[in-house]
Amino acid sequence: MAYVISELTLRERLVDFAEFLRTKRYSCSIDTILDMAVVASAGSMSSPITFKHACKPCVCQTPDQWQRFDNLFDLYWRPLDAVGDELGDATAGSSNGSTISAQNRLVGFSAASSDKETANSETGAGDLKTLSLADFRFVFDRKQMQQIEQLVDSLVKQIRKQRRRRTRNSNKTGSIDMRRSLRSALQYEGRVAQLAYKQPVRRLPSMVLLLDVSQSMEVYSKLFLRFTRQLMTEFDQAHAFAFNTRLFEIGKGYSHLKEEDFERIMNHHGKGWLGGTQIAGSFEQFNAEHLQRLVSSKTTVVVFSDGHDTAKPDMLVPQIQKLHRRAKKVIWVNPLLGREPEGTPDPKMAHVLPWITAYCSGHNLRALKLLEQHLIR
Amino acid sequence: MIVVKRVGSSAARCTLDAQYAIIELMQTPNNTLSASIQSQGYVADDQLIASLQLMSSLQKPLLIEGEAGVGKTDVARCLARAHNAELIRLQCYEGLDAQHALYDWDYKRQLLAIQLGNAQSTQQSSGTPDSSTLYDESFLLKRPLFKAITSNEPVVLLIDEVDRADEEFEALLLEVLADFQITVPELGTFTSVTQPWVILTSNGVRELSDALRRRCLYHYIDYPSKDKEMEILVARIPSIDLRLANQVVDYVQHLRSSTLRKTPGIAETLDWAAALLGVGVKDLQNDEELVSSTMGCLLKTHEDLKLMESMKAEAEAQLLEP
Repeated sequence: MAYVISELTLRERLVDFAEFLRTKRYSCSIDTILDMAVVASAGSMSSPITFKHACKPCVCQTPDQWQRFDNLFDLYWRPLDAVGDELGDATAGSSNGSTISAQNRLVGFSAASSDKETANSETGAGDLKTLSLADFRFVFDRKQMQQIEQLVDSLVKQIRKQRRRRTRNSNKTGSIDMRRSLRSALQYEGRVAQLAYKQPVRRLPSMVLLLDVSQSMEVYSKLFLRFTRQLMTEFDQAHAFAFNTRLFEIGKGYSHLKEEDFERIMNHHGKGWLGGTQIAGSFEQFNAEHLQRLVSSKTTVVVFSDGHDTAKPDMLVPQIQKLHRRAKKVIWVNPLLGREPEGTPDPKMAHVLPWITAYCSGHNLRALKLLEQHLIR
Repeated sequence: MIVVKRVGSSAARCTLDAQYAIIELMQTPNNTLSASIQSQGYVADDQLIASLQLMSSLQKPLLIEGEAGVGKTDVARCLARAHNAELIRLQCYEGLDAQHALYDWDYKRQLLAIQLGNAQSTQQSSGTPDSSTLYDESFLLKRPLFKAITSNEPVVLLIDEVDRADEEFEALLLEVLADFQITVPELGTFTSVTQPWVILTSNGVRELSDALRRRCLYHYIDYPSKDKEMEILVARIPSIDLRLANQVVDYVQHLRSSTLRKTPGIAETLDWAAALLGVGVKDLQNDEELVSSTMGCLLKTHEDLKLMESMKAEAEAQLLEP
């Protein structure tokens, strides 16, 4: 089927297509539209497949966009009966309303509708504020949870950006840079008149994340896991471990897996996703197997746990002491803290608090955001 | 035909000739580029060919993303061979800077020139060399980006694993890739005589900036389907028996569906098939020991090897159960 369309309509359709894609989280700039116009006007519209193949590299910028593009393209450009019910995953993220609206709006090239689709994923500023203050255990709505998950992802990216901005203007100098010194000596006929100094190498913070995935942490652990996996993706020197009755390393490779795949791996290793907790035992295992390798005086250790342990609380003390001696900081994130009024003593944690640098809550997004100051400094 | 007016620096690049070139390219999908790429042993689908054609016609860099070992770098190699052009490769790493990517002055030779000038000045009255002779192009060390831009012949510039480089380097690339020119303060601006084909690859280790993505065309290479992988295997290792090739591909496809720490790519499939041929395996089911001894070609982490062993043991135990 060749597309037959006047020049004016084509231009309008391309702009409309770009708008449609923008509502699906594609960033279509003017340049993108111009590129599409060039390839369209150059004869690629003789066949829909050729046109699709030509538009795809111009429009997509990420693997996710690449995979969704074909379905969205078909949804927009093809007549309704040709699309049928084969929308697949491409529209899974969008609600029925937006899908119907897109279909009605664009049935091939013939339809000309001025209706502007409202992106359902958009959220007002007030909603975001409410979400950032909501305790994760009270978020039951699937859509709200998805929004929180996206906010968690962007939070980690913000932390990474903050880190870069803060270290960029550092005035500290390092050792003498012989190469640059000799280079500047050229203007003095080879005499080294000015010394050049090496700029300190900006290294991303090293961190070890220990994540409690036991039954008592059920409502929080999946979001913390997402936070942890994002940290591992953004920070090269981030190593993560999950524990309930035993310790299990979440390798870099696993950080890219889907949640269900991750669960399957956990189950395959015989530890189960949820169950009882042996914090002291897990920490003992960590100290025996990984402490020397992963924790140094520059490492921040972050524990995400409510502190519920089947062992006696004082058994944890020597393990935390070991961590404290070796690490730069030990931060304990306890989501239950958000339930109690500030300053309420916690008998489970009283034994280990002296060896913890920061004891904070992570029950909502705002509390997680406060972690930034501990992670990057 | 619609006349599209381009904005800014892109205007010069999108001439009428370019549009005619696109017309020619888009109307002949099975053109010589496709045939040339195929003749290099690279099995390219229509989408990849379309992306490469667009790269040539829109004169924009092409960013290729995908898992390790799916053949991203090979695209550049094959493209260079297809165009009979030189491949200039810039391997990115953390800490890569302008001195290693663009140009540097050969300060050792400059110092020698100064010393030599001083020695001569004591015998004659010629004096030390001045800055105009010291900052001559002969003292310039051309790095890959500079080489690609100043080359008289069209070249393929491969910026490999750009996600490993720092964000500062990305900013540097923006300037170079937008205008295809490099300014050396002492010498002036060098503009590309023949615009290179630029391919950037990324494994997704770090998220690339939107600014860089916006300036590039994009292509994603996924793990191949069974049929495509079979085609690749036979194209790359023509001596392989079809039955063995089928078994190898089946096994690798099965592995990809399980949750391994490092999923094997096409490169691993080819390595494994070559290793199997090397040790004389004819059938995977008959030579289990030899197959296990070559698993190192396919699985690259200790955890994955252990996982495979445990899965194998489980499968055997299930078979023994009454």
